[in-house]
Amino acid sequence: MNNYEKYRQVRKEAAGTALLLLILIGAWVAAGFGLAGIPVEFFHLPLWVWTATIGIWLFAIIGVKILTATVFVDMSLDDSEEEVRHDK
Amino acid sequence: MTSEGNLSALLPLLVFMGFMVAIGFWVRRQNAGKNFVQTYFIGNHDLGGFVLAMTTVATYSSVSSFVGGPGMAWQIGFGWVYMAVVQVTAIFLVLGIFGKRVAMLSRRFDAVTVVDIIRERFQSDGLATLAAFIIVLFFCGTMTAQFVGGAKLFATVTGYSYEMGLLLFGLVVVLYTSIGGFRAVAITDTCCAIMMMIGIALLLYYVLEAGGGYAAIMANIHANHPEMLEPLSGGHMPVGLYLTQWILVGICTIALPQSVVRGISYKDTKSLHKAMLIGTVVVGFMNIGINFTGILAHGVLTGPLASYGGVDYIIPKTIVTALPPALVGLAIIGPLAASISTISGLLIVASSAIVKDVYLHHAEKHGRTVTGRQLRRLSTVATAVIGVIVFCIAMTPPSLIWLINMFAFGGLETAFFWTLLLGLFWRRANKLGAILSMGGGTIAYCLTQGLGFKFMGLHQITIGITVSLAFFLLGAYLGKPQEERVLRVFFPESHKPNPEDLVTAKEPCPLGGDKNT
Repeated sequence: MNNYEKYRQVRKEAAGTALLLLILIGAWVAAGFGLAGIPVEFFHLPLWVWTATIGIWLFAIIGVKILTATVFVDMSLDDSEEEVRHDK
Repeated sequence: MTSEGNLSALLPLLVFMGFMVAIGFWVRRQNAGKNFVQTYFIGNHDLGGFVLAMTTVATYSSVSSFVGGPGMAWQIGFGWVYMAVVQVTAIFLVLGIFGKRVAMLSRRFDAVTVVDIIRERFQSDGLATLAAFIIVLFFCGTMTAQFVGGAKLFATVTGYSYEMGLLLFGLVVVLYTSIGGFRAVAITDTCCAIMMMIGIALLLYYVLEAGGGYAAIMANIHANHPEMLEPLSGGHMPVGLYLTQWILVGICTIALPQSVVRGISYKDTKSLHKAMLIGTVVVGFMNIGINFTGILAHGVLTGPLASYGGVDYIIPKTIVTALPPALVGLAIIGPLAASISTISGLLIVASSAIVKDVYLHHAEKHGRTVTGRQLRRLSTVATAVIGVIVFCIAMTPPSLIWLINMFAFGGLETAFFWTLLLGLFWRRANKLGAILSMGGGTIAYCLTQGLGFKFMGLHQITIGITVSLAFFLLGAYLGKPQEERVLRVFFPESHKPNPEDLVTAKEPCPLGGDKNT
């Protein structure tokens, strides 16, 4: 990868990260305020508590895993090299 | 000072502190003969994924996360945990947005600090000096809060005096940071983060046991505090608080200099990707785990809040009440580790702001040679002096510690958010915009904080960040665009090279490089 390609890729990765943030905010609202009115309890707690806390945490972990596996690319941090590879 | 404390609670802490100091000395020996500036301030671009994740999390998670936060969760309920979970974004955001760009740029012109990058991007010594000043000022506030919070916890749990607590871990953290530099900070942070997680697991186990089990505690909450099971907690958690917390401890944390500088410190992109994942796992575990434990402490502390002395005393009292005396010392290592890891992370950045960003730059500009030996001595002394000043302020503790902490957090975010985000991703960003944004935003934030002025009841960070953006845009459109030679360095993606111009050798940086001692 040359510098042009690398910096384009880095911009794409930053945009991907910002998109994950927006998705997480949406999921956080839906999982908390969205489910707060549902009178279902699980393990002595309202459903919203599980979905909005541990659920959001797991969602974030999966989101980051997908982000780093599909959008992020391994590259040299020094100037101008050729190799490109996605995380396995 | 009193000698009537619990010695068995003190011993594990002494062992842990001794281990931290030993790491400082070990790192100093390992670093002997290497490039001092690169090694002392940034660890020689050498951090792997696990250590990068742990040091970023440990610096981000302060004593407030382990003492004040779960105390509030005890009072408010699950709405507080819902709010705290926004922090799962903190690590992947800063590393995902800034991590690679900062790492690549820092290698282009041998930058070792965030101020280095700001100086190169905006070509302004004045802005760099302002940034260094803001860093030192707000970091001192945050560090004071950490010292006071940690010493209060120490005194409550061990029975020894506040001053002794302050002296013990104050000396330890200043010693290992000044001796070992960034690498010692990163390794000790990793140990601290591990101890924080062990502390949470230990406390959770004994809180459940002392409270008669999970079902009994939850039955008590259902019967006596039903509002704790609602997101708005019967009006204690207004929607505006959720909004400002998303800004204050979520989105805007990407611009905290102590977090961004970690983007310079790792060795390769694989480490960065690994750190984003590990960091998200760990920060979520800590925030959910400790706040959940705070709520479950209702099974241990059943009286009104006033009878325990306020929210800051809920976790210390829970530790003393629920844990066997032999384990109390082990349990407080976690929260104290949160305190010292934050102090050390801030201390090394504050020291670099003075020595590297101001003194060394000034010396180089005037053609003075600073030897590695002089620099080493100066850096150690600067780190120690900042630590001692903060230590002295903490000897007469100001009240409302968590407010000071949040004030400093918001001030740093106001100053650096747009300067870094727009500076690194927007070609139009220029020197005038950055100066107006950093100076004007910070003044607006401090003034509104000082006057207690709020817009629609929201935290003053919303005013600071909005004013900062407005000033940035004003400067960007009224001021002179940044020089093309600078933009070519910072935005190579805007200049598609001709195939015949491509070279495989390393391109020289138009702004220069290899300047550090």
